[in-house]
Amino acid sequence: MATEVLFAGPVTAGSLDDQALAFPESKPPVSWWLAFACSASVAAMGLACMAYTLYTGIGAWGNNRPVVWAFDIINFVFWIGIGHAGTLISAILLMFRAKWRNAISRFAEAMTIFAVICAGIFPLLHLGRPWVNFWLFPYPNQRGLWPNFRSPLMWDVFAVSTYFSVSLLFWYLGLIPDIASMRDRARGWRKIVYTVLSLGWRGAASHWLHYEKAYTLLAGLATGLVLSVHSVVSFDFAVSLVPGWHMTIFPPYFVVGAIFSGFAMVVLGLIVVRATMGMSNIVTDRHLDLANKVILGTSCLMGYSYLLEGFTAWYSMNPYIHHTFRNYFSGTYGWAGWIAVICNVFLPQLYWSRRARNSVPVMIGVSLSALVGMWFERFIIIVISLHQDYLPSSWGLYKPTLVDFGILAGSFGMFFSMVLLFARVMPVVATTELKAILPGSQVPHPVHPESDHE
Amino acid sequence: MSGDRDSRLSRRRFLGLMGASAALAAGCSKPDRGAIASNAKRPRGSTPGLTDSYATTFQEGLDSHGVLVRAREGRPIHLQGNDLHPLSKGKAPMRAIADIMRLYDPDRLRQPLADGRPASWTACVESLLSMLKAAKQNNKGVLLLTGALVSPTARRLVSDLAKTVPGLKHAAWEPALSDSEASALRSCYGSQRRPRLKPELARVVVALEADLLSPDKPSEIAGFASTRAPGSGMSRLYVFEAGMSLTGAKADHRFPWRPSRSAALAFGLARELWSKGVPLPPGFDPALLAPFYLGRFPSEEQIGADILSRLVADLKGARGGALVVAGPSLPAEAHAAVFLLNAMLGAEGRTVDASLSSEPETLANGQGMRRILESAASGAFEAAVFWRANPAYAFPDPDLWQAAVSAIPSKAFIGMHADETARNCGLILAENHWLESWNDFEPQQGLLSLQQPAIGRIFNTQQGEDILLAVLTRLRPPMPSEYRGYLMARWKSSVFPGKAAVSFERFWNACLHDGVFSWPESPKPLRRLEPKAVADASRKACSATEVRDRTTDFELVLAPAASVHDGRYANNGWLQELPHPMTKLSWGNSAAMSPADAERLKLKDGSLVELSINERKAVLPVVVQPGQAPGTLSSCLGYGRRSGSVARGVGMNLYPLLQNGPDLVIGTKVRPAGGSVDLPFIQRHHKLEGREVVQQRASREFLAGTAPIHRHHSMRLIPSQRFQGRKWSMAVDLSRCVGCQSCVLACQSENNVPTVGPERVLKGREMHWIRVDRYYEGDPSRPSVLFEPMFCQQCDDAPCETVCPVAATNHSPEGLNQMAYNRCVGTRYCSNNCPYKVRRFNFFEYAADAPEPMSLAFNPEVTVRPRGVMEKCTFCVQRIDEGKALAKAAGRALKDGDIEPACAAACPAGAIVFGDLNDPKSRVAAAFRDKRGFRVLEELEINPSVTYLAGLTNQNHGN
Repeated sequence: MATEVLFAGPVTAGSLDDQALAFPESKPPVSWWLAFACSASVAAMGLACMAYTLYTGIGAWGNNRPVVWAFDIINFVFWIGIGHAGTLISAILLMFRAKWRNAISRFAEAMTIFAVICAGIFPLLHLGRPWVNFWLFPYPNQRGLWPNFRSPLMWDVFAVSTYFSVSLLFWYLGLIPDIASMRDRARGWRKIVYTVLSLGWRGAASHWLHYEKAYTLLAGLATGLVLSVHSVVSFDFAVSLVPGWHMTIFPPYFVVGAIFSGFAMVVLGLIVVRATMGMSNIVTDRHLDLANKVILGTSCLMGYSYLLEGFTAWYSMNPYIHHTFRNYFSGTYGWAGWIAVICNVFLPQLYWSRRARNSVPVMIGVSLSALVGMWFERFIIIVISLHQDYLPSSWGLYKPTLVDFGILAGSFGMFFSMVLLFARVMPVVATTELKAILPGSQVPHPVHPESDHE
Repeated sequence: MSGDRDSRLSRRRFLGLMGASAALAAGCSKPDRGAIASNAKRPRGSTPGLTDSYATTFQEGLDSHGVLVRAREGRPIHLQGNDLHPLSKGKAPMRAIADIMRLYDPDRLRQPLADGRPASWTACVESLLSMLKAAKQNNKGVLLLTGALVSPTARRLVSDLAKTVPGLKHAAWEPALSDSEASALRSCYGSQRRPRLKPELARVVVALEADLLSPDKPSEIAGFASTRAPGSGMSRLYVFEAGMSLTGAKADHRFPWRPSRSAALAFGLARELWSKGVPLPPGFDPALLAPFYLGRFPSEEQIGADILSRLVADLKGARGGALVVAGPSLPAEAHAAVFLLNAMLGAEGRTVDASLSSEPETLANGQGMRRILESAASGAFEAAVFWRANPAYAFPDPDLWQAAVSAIPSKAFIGMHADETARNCGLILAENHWLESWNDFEPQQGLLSLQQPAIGRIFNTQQGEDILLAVLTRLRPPMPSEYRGYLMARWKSSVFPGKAAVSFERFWNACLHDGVFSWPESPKPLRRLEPKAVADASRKACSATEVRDRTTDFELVLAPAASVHDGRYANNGWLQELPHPMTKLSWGNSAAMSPADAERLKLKDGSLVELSINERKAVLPVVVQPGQAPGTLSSCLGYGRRSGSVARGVGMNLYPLLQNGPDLVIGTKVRPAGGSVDLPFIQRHHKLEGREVVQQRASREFLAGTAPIHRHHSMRLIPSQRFQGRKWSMAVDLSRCVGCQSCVLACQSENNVPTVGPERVLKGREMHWIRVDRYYEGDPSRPSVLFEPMFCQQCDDAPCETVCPVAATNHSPEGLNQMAYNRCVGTRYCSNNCPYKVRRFNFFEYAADAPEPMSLAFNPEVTVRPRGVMEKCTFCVQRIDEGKALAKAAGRALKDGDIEPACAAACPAGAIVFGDLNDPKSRVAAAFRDKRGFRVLEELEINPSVTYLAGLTNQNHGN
């Protein structure tokens, strides 16, 4: 471990600050404005579609009976999945003391927050009567009415809101020393804002002591959440009796898929950050290589899950599940099944080759395909399972409308708008954490004779 | 409920609205002049919050049915059968149930119009009088064209009018009624008295192109259903038909059959019976049967020789209990052959009984209407009055109609809608709905059935009879000034038993209360079957027209649609959205084609084809219909209206393909027209895919125990819910259910179920709370058909309940899965988790789509659901509560049968039984113990509260 190379080229504490804080401190380049204009207008279009939905009703979408859930829940599960890499990198890798995480953790955490915001829109928007969404929360009221704690949707409310609050806290806590650095360098009204946001951080030893404790505690909390959120989201399906949903494999399968798509999004983001913000010495090829290895690993697990789903369908001798599984690859929507398998299982196999893991075009291709594949994976689970369930008399087809596509595109627009705004005001790398792993910044641990496992 | 939308509603506006609706309700509840005695259930009069029932009569074509109007606060909201009516026996025909919506149709004419401007009724009567005067001056005739006029009093009124106005020519015309049976009756029996079919007495029924089980005739469905219980008395139904009908679907043996061969088949059966020793009626020469040889059919029509001989043996064995029926589209000779068969089999007077039938009016169907219009075109009439007739839409020859109508100088129209015919008329007289009218009917001799208003007139309309009477009063006083008085006067003079101990008023009120008055009448059987007429028919049957080229020429069978009938109901959204019982196509008609023909012509569902006969053409979409006889097409009349905001442009008008009436059209050319359309099917998948979600067994094997019903028994870790006290349950006997969908309409009317329109049906957003699933099994050329009414199964361990995050759907202590609409946030998770897919989601604010006065049709006991909430069958919980409250108020215990959900009350077959499962003596508990019982998707362990009794078939395997 002592020989671990975490930076490409010479990096010092001072140069690190100059590098990481330069972008928020300077006027944005034209490219940023262009990117922001594009994503913000797509977001505005999405918001207009959402407003239209709120005005007319869910009927503006393609949802029907039997497919009462479609793009709404697909997008929800998709974005929750994207949010997974952040917590995994921040929390689990922190607990495992994987030092390479420090260069990418801030960006991944930010993406988590924004992805969960995008995801959170959908459960509210998809309600038939979104204006009474607060009924989903357990609050004391004169009517003495409580939500139904047996409903997986109720669990969702808790899981997602907990996940969001812990992720937000974790992200903000990690930001405090960096905001303090920004405060120290800023002038004018920006200084006031950063001063407020830095909560009086002076870098005192007692601050660091509390900070480290709180950060580790939150990491511990978040570790459980990485596994729980998507497990709970998967319960929306696994707990029901819809053929194709009622599967015990769903929790791990969903978590793996989420990490897979989350890392794909992180890699895409980092490629852009490196290219436009000159951070290739901090976010090195090795980081991307490691992230790609995670993508490869989770892709293999996805393949295994698909096989196991098929096996369960066959072994259950349940004609309804047989039928649904056959539909995944051969029915009206069979093409979606093949898109998912090719994008999620076959294409990432390129990463067995080191050259592919280090090639930017391959990374972009595989990451994009993972995003597409994982979106279709949720399409399979939701639309294909629902369109033909128990009684053949009730089978039907689903066709999305323009509003559906508008909202889907709009969610991407919102996500990228938020990422771009974040890059404008905050350092995209965690400078304080990176300073802690700068060469020579830490006294090497004494080697314990009894623990030579490292 | 609509609080979410009404946040803008200020208190002042709210009070204003309340005042307005109270005034509206009071205005509507004001009865017509004269007292209306309500039904036995509430003789004390109307109590707000309670349902009043009025007995009245629904008439359509030549038939009338006794119905009970359920009214709330003066508004009729639901219709069901009148159980005091000896023929209706508590069952209303499907379209009567739906016709309540026509009362509140926003498109109704709201006042009389003269040349497009509102006019007073006095002025209108003056115009009519001046029309009569002009006719007299010009020495020309006056045409009064009506629909079938079956009321004896109305007929007397018209004949009174004809006596006073010498040039009056009255013609009654029903575009969708075929003349063939009437003409066969005329020639073979010398009378048009239509026999009453009594399938309840039949052990063997043979239907030739006859839809015995159509929802028009609830008594026939009830009769048939009563013979479908397992056991040795179970009837056997043989059907020979082109298109798949409800009767064909229930047949034990169904043979796809070209209708042109039906007469030959019937005569062939007669010959075979004769050769097996069944004597011909006296005076018949066996030689007339000589040309008909059953043996030709096995080679020509792909039918087994053995099954035909078994059919003959069955008929022979069932003498006295056999029934042969020919359908209206068959030519007169087929009807004559069937008369002969029924005479040979001893069915006359038993299963086919005309002894109490009254002589109906001769309709101007067949050639009659053509002759009238031809004379009109030649200038014979100065004026014409069209009353409940719409020849501009339904007369098959539009050119002749145009010539006729332009040759008549002044035209008046009496009707409810400004329809195609009204557009040709200067004087448009807005007519009452029949629920606002007085009348009487004579469904059979010795039985009179009264029609009384159940609501005051909603608009400034008059009953057609009142308009004619107003004219008559001016020409020939003294006359009663109102039709009600005219009706009472007739009753007083010719119906009221003079020596009765009660006054006429008490007698009249009692008759109004019951809806019927009957007296013993001695049966008058038909005259003996005329051998010469049958011999003539047999000669015609020998030379029956055949199509020339079977690859391009089809036999086209056109029948009035089960829903919109001849088109008069086409503006009723309920009926438009009610799917065709077999194709399950809503909102429009299609050409049903056999799978073999469709494959040959490379057509699929929705492909457009052009039908043409003698230069008359129609383009409509194909539906590939399993079981359709190759070489035939079936379709429905009543679509393609050019007026009405709902009716306009839905489907295709096929009247122009007809010659005179809905008779078989032989030699229809079919040509793919290119292109296709998406069809709004209510059911989109038609095969069972090997799933045992509906079960049917052969009666013999089931009784022998070799084919038991498949049931699931699995281990439970968690005990199922148990209900103390009452446990509401339902049982559906699939052996009785004929798939007529009366339940669908009854439910729609009772529970304020919205219609959504063709675009939304196409998207899969229909709202019916109960549907009749229809599956095909086996070879598509000869499928067996399984019906299964499907509605909320009120599962004891309902999967929908656990997943609702706000507990909007939950369980009642009496076993109901209930829905709190105002708690529902609309996650739709319950619909996903419902394996029966019976939950319906309000994708839009449907109630807001309904223009006034449609909201008057709403049942005030059932919440009108706003946008964004889920809804579903409640087992008519409002009726359960009403039943319990009434029993409690009367201080008695609730009895089995006190509570009847709308579907059960409407089911003509009596297939749906509702009751308390915890009462071991209830009918539903007995059904749950039945060996035929199974529950749908029992393996999911959700314990549905509905048991289905497996359908039984009674095939003839020879013995």
